Amino acid sequence: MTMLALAGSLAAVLLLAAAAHLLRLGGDARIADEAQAMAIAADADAGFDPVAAAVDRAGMAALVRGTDGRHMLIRRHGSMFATRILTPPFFGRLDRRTLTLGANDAMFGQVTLDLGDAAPMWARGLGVSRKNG
Amino acid sequence: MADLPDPVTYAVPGFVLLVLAEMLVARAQDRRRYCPRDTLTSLLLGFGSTIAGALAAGGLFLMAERIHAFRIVEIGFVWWAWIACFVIDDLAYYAFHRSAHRVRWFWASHVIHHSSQHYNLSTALRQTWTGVLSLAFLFRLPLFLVFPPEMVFFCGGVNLIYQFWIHTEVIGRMPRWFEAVMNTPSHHRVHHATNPLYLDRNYAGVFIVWDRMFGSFVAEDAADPPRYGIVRQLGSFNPLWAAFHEWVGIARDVWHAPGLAAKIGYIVGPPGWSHDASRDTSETIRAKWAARHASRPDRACEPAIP
Repeated sequence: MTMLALAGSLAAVLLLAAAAHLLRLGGDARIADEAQAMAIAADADAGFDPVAAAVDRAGMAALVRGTDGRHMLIRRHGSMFATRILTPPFFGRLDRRTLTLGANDAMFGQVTLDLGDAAPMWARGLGVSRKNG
Repeated sequence: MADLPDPVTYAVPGFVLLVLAEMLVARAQDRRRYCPRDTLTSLLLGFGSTIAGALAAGGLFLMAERIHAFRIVEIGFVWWAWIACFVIDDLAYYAFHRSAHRVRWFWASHVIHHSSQHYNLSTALRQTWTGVLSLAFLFRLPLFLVFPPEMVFFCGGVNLIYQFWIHTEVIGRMPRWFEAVMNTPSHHRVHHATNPLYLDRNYAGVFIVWDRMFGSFVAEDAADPPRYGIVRQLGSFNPLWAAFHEWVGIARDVWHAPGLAAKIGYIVGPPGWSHDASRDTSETIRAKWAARHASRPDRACEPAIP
């Protein structure tokens, strides 16, 4: 591979990335409601049977409870969604109407959900207090 | 005929133009087919793969020459040898690819290609950085006992070029005769899908007949639209993490595994294998899906995510 080919490949990478940005591809993925959150959860894990969900007010994330009592965290990832089952010990913090959760996966990161008045109830279900969980 | 060009190098401008064309179609039809950050990650992984491939090429060609010195027949570059080489190389690709999904050591290298949740032409360029480490080249070595290395590498390049165009949702189905023999966008969408019924299916490179012959073929079902990516989606656009996350996972699991058998299992077992059966392989995922299907038929095919 010559330096010219290398430079050309890098230029092509930047050109195509810029084109995707300028064409405004990707859209604005949001979770519309509880039903969609549960559908995402069921699709993500064949062994997870969703029974209830709480969706972040902006639709950027959701928390889903399964029939077996486990919880799945959903967050936006580009124009798609990524999920993690919350397996103890996980990070959790309740701050009035928002719940911040981390799924023992540094690359997945922490997710803050604005759940409104439902936040304390979901926090109790997860065993999360107002301090670090 | 010793100095054959690398056909992939000549195909790169075509790749760029086709990705641009597909982006324009996506803008007109469905913007969610592309995500700029995902595209950048795919392209950077492709760029890194090119560098990794160039670094390894010399050593691999030398190894091929050494093996060819022990060739069992003298075929040379006659016309029918090209056809035979291409077909047998594609069979070797099938064996490699199936192993890449069934043995975690090979999967650690190949998972890069599946780590996008999108399925477009840029996904085709999301290629491995660690092919040499995973010993993927082993599957092609027997060919050097028959065919000249230049011919094998050229056919491998053409095989790779063929596989580019099938990474798209723009094309629905090809004519029936073509779908019966060749790998197509429809067949390969199944391969990239995480739907339980699609997991670890359709390993073909060019000829789908290998999957039909060896029992790994599944047709795309309009009632079960593919959802792309990997079972545990990365949730990150970091190309370094995409390139190395499974190797990190293997290292962690081997470190913590109780006993030698478990340590070996985490290396050569199928992806998702665990010593305490706490994780899911494609078989257990299918079994769970079937159990849910049996208990709640109304949930068998979940509605597509809007």
